[in-house]
Amino acid sequence: MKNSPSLSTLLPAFLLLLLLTVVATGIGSSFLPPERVIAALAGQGARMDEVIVWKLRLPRVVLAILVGAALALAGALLQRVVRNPMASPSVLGITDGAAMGVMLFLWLFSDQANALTVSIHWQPTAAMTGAAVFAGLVMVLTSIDQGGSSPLKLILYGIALAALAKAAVTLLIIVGPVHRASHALTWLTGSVGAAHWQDVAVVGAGLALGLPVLIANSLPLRQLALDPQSAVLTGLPLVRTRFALLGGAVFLTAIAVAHVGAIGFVGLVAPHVARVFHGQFRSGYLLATAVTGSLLVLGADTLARVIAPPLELPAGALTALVGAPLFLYLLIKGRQYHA
Amino acid sequence: MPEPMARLEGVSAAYDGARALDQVSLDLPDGKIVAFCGPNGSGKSTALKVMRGLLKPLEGAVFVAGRRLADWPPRELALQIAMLSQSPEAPADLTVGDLAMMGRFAYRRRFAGPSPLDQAACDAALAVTGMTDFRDRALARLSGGQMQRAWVAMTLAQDAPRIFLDEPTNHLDIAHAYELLDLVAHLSRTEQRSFVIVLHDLNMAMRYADHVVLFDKGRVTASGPTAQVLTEDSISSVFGVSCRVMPMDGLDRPVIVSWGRGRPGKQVV
Repeated sequence: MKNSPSLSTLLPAFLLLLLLTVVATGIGSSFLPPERVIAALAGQGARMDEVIVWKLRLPRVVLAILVGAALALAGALLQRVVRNPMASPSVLGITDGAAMGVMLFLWLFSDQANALTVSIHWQPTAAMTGAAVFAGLVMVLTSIDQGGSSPLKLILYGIALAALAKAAVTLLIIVGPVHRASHALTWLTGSVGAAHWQDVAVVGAGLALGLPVLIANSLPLRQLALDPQSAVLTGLPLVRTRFALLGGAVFLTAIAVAHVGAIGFVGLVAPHVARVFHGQFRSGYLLATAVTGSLLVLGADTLARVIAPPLELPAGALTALVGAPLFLYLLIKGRQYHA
Repeated sequence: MPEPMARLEGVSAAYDGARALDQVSLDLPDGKIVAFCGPNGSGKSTALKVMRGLLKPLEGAVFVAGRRLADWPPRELALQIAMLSQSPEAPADLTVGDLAMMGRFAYRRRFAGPSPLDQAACDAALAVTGMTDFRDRALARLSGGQMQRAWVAMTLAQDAPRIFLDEPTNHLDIAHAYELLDLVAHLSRTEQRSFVIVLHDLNMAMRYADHVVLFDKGRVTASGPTAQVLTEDSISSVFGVSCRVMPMDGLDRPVIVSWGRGRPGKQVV
């Protein structure tokens, strides 16, 4: 047992995130060098700099960090619950399910003038419902499959349902309120471009709510790495634990997707990277996963802004660019995961 | 009569859709090494699973440690009974030490690291299975025999007074198999732990078990002290092979010699 806080790997990751935060805040239509960003962050910069940093750039940067952490943690939870390193919110259709929930909500509750007839604060609930329905569907389909539960079956059902949800999102963009179509890319691929402090507050509150539950369940989460029978034999209440952690994954995914759309593959890539540079059975694995997710989304969004200015790519397009090849690699390599 | 370790009352159970146990009633003595023997598919593994609550019986009642099985909360049951199933699985990057610590799940508290007691139990389990030197080795880099001993270490780390082992000698060569059963005998004698072991090898059962339950086609044909159950007649009728039970110089228990069907001396080619 290594119970040291594993600072040797976590500290560099945190420093990298800090560095990227300063750089990402500086980059934009008017470039701010790091020292001006830091001055503005400390409240001692020029007035104009402070407006740019605090009003325009920082919400986006912080939202990217929070959303990345949430999606990464959701991925880490899912991979343990289904004992499959290829699982993640996007691969299992949960991300697109959440996006579909939001689109359905916008379509159902908009009037002729394209104004919402209910409060926008219901949007996360809609995302949660969509995510839960699709997570439930994947689990039910896999468990009633008579041909045995091979690990690839789950993935196949997930991909099929994700495709279905994506098609529904496309359809809802076309039939839905016209002005929402301008956000089409957001809901299909995910972007943090439209971030406000309000979004940051809601996602932050969601994470703050979820983290204590996660920490309290870190031992059961670890125990789930054993085959289900052995886990039960050591005293794990299997069904309850799986249900709770699946619920946690749905919650974290939905809270992220409700604000930034269907950013994919973060939940696949981040736990994998954390396993390599940190180790999945060292304490601090979840922290390492969360930081990796933050780095991934913030890095993707920063790149998305500098590749072809003044055009901005959706961050989700770039995370998929990293995630999809890794997914293919895991598929080809097969399962050398369990002994 | 002392409290039995486990009691089955008219228990029937199905495994993989087929009826594997048929109205079995059984009392198992506490503090002994009990062996479940019988042909493939006779219900011995199913009986073990039912006794640990891994498999719900179709009918009948199961009692363990003086309480109806269904009344035990998962954690408390794990404190009473540790069990090693037939083909356990863990991630390849898990270390032997971490696997042993997984056996301590029922003892550990939510927000705390392992207690000194947890650590001591793991140390003892690794030492007694000869796995101390492999503590930091990933499971991926173990041989089949080492892997089995790592799982036994995890089961022992659970520190339960009753231990169920489902064909524990499966992946072991004959030396390691005897080593494991010697360990079982040692723990039974020195710590009065009760064991129920599913064993294929009748000679192993003859040598190590205090009590044998003989299964045949989902029923119990005999249950009692080893020498009374493992007889030439019972083995012949249950397994359908001819055999002799013979004393052997230097061994306190007889050995079983079988030559398949037919008479001795006649080689069937």
